[in-house]
Amino acid sequence: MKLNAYANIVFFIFTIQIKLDTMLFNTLQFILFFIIVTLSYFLVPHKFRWFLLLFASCFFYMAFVPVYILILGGTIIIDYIAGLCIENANGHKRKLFLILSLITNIGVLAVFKYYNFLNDCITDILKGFQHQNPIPALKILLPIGLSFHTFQAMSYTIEVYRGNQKAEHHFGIYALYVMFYPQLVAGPIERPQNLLHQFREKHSFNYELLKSGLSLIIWGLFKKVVIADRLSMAVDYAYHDIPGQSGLSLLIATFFYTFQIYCDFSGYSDIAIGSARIMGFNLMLNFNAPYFSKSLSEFWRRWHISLSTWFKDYVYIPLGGNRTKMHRWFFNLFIVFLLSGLWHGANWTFVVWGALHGIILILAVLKNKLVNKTNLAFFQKDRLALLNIAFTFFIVMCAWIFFRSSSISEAVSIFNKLAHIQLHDTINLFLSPNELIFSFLLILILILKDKFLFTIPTNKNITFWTTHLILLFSCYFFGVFNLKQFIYFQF
Amino acid sequence: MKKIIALLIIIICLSTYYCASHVETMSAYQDFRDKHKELQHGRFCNGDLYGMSFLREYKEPVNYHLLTRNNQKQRNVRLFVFCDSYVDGRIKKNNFDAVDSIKFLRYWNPSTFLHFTHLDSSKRNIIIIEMAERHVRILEKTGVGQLLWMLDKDTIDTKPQTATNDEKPMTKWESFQKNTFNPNINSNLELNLFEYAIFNPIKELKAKFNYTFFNRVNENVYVDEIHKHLYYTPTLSTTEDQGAFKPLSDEEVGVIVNLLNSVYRHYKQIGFEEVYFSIIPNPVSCIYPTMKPYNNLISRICATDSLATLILDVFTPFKQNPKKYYHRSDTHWNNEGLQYWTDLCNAAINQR
Repeated sequence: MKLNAYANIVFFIFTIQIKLDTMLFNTLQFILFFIIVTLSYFLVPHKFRWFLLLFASCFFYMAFVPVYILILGGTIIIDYIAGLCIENANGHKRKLFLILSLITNIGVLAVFKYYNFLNDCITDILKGFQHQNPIPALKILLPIGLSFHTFQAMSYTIEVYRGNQKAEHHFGIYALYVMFYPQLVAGPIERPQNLLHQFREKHSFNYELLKSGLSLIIWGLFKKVVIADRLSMAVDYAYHDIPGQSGLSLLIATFFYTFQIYCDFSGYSDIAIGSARIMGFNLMLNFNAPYFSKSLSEFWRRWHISLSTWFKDYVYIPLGGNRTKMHRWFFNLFIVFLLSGLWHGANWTFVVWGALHGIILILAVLKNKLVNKTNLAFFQKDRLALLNIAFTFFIVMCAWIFFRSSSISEAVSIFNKLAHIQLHDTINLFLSPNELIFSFLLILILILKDKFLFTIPTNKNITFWTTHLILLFSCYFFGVFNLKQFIYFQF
Repeated sequence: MKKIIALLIIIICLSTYYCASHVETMSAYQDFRDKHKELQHGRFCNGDLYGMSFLREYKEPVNYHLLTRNNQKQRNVRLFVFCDSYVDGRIKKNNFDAVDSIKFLRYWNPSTFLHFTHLDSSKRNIIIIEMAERHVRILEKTGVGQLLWMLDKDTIDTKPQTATNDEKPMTKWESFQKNTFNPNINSNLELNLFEYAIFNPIKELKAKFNYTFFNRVNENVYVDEIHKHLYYTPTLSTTEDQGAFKPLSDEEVGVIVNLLNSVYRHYKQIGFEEVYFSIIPNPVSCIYPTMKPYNNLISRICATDSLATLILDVFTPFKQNPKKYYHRSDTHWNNEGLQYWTDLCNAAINQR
């Protein structure tokens, strides 16, 4: 009872509902905010720019839930001090400070993201022994972007420890590194070597960067409001009533979800990268036509690149990577993907999704070893490129079923329906036949753009502005404005 | 020069942001717009359902202009109208023969009806409780429900108090939060930047495209192509409480009648000469009741023997000629509907 009361007192302020429509990248509020901040950035003297961006980033974050800035502020202070301590310390003390910093970051993540999940697991276990769980659940909301800025902060202390990055002495610059608003809530997860020094560089207004950035922003917006939010209507409808859906409907819905999540997340990343680029900041590429991957390992070099490289550099390689015995190599792979799944959410479906990717990667490694041993020319990659792309896409699509489902049993029932698919199944996906065809057309446009890397010619101003205004108008005309939050915000 | 232009843009954007975020400024701007016809948005001038769907074919101007009664009858009635958007602010004392003053009580805001100024016994105090059919089954969630809870707990305070509609004053921090991180900022920005008649053609074009090619309209709007009428989607539900087609058991009718009776007895007890109820039917209940099995909520309530209160019945006449009394692009009635109801109230007040 005491713990319950204490927990309620400490955490009651975190029960505030997130205002879902505030400061999303596809809102008028963000557009105005972006214009004000970007123009101010170039007007303000260079020495004050860090302060302007930091203030703007604080405002941006507080627009979601004001009080959560305290959590972010707290972890920033701890990691800033940890970075200085690591740099100044010697021997075991360096490791100690690193561990303290990591424990703090992971601890905050664990409490807000995984406490109730673990508590539910304990409850289920104790139920099996006919006992009640004395530990209370916490009614708290996940601070927006927690997973992203936590990993970014951890990247800093680890790189300082490794000697790859000097500790940042300027608190404001360091805080800005964690809180830089374009990538604060959903990445890309940056490295200090790439981002920190950019806050000290003087960026002058560059017209080409403006065009390039705007191009990214508008295309990202198109992917989000025209493609992703349109596909989500069918996906939500189908996944809301799985027993009532046919196998064919669920197959189409899953196919749509594959592109919904890509357009949603890559659209967000494009807007983030474009926003930063206009101000002269260079953020890392986060997506590189992932559905054209010929293998799952290639997929993870093209999908959410910032996260996969984070896990590679800070978990996979320290565990030994592939420079170890085979069974240990496979263990490393499995652990990394298990953690990656868990990072996405506190639900067994994400764990299974991650584990699936791990298992399939291991099987792919074994297959390659077998092919190399047998030296069968037929299985040489370039001959089967198209088949490999299709197969990889199919595997990824199937894995997304776990990602989208709310429970393992729901995912299993979907697979069951897919296994009994019939061509004469009815399609009932909320969308009219015309809109279904239009959705497929949009996916085709997306594929063509990704494959052939269409870029709108920017040489002539008139061409650039005309085509982008048309694209912007298309965002309004064909856009679905039901103010759906970006999918990765929930992580 | 470029810097000046940039500064100008920043000032304009900041002002726009501030206006949408700051509650009082937003309210003042809306009042300013209401007084200047050229700035009025076209969204609700042509019906709230048009404002949600922008289907040009259903556009119909909304205008209320009730008859004024200038007879010599003694005005000795203090009329209290417990109402919603069907009536609120649309009737005046001059629309009645004997009414000396009207006070509107908004039942979504309990503080407006729980406390009354001392009832002037030299006047006839009459209360009319008007509600939309779609709200009858959720009365418990409104201030009526709170009133009934208080009745049950015997905590009603009917001592003479100054009637007030004011909310508890906010602390400085709450005020700062509300004005700086206004949760309605995006809808306010849309209202301030794009809710002007000049943008309606583009919105209509988009709506036409979506409806023609994708058969899609705003989720809150249903298009009745047979009767050329728009309905508010929740009123068509078979599962939601607002739905005219959600099955209604006799027990639930009994609960609603008891609720109405409790309210009736309370107001009679505190001194009102008469208490009237009036349930305004959903448009679909009159225009297209055969769309699905209609639950006949209004007629079943009126037919209940134990009903103590008097009902001002508009359902019967509206059913006979529904298109005469409803806007085709609005959830509410039109001027004829409001006039009919006002005349009915006037007759009821005059007969005693």
